[in-house]
Amino acid sequence: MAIGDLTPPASLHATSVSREAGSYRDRNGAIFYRDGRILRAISAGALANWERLRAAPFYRRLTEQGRIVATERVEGVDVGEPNEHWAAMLSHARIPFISYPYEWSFGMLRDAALLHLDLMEAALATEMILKDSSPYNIQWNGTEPVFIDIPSFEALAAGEPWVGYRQFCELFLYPLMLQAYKGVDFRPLLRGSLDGIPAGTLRAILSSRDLLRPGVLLHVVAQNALQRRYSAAGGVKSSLAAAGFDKRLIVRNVAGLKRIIGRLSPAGAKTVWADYANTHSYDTAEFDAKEAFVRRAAAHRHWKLVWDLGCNAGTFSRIAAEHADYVVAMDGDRMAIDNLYGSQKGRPDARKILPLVVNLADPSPSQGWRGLERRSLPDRGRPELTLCLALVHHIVIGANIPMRDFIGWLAGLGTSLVIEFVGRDDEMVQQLLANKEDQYRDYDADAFASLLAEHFEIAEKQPLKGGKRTIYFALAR
Amino acid sequence: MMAFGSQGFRLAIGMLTVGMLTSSAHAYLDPGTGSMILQVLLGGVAGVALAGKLYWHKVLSLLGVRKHSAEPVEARDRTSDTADRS
Repeated sequence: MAIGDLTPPASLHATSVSREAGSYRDRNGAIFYRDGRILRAISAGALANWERLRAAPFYRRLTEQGRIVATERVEGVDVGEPNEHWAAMLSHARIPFISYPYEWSFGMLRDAALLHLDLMEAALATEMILKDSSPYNIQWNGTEPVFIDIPSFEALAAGEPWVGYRQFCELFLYPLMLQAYKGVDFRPLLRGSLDGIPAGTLRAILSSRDLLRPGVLLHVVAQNALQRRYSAAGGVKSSLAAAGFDKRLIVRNVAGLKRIIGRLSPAGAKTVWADYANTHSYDTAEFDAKEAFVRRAAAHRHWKLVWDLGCNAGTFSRIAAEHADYVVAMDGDRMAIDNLYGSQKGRPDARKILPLVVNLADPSPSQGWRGLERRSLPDRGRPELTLCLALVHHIVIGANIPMRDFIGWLAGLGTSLVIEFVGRDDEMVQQLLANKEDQYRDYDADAFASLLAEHFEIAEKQPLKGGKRTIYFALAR
Repeated sequence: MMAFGSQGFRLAIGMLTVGMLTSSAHAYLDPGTGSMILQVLLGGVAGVALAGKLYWHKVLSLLGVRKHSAEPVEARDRTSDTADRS
């Protein structure tokens, strides 16, 4: 990943600088955006750690592999804050689209956890450690995880335990165990609590049979018991140091966690849409026609960012990726996204398509401290092209969102559209209406066409499935 | 399983009731006292050795105040277990 030209112009104005609202917890650094660059101001202590990290062979190797974000020190950049507070400035390669663990599939969170543990092992071998264990420090280039929080690497003090162990459990291990051992979706819990799942919460969900499962007795039950027993005790850190706690204990713990997590797989894997690619309602010829239409529309120009809403198996995300810098492929079905994530590995477009679990009727909000720490979906980058294939009926009939609102929302994104209208006589719509009162008078082909024309310039349209569906290519006005 | 578990904890807690000295947290993240203690149990052979050492310190300090070595530890545990459950 290229950082690009890191030499700043001779005179810089501080007017286009903004500080990342989510970067406040660690006072040793802060993220700023300036002229499209990602800058990180760091304290004197963080600078010493950075110098040490930069000299470590593992850092070079993992950066070249794309597993740690490409980073360089830059001079003379003004971020509009008193310089005495900061000792140095780093510049990071840009992540195409920021995402959060409550949007990741099981496989994504597991691979992020394994990356974190790999980095721990590498760092410990050179007397360094990651001082925290937040999955928010891991982002994605397509389906390849990359660690972005450089100041997390610090020198390992003698006798120091793994400070981030509890956080690792609450934000990586417990969510994965919840899905693997209980078949419970971790995403609502992570979205509801940015600090993760406490040991006591997971303990309450586990049955006595679960105590036999790998990692439960020590990492969950014992940790919960010890936290309760010692909640008010102080001085343990220094007692441990005095007794000779050393990094071999951490290395052993990390290796154990890698074994446990490497073997976890999601329970409850049979979801409604997991097998859509083999069960959708198109015959081959009609599906080819739809694919050709999408291919033509995508080739209309080059797009910086494409959203594929209701992407399912990702067939159309891949077509769009041929003509785009980056595609965010979203679906509400966690297994559909997990399958897409798995199938992208080793593909030439693996770094171009980011699969995310997103329910469009209830997408990720802005939240956290001041409602700014974690941003809503459109706040993280608006698409130039959006694919909405076999989606509108789920939005309007399935989720009860008025069609006018949905088209208006899409228009508000400023995106062009490839959108498929699924007619009332289509068996998929019949199925959705089977058990519901038909209150959807707005759901009709003509009303859809005129709504679309109200907000977009219709470049092309084509009937599909013998006229039961119509696909449109509509340009942003 | 449950019986083994709770015995294991009692043993671990007993072993690890160490003389608490001064606190020196220099991380922005709270590592959690219980989670730090657990890391001894997760440390394999080195952890066992360390636990033994911590226990020995405890025995010495108890001898230092001229009390029986095992009883106070167990008594303290029982009290706190009861408190936890209430």
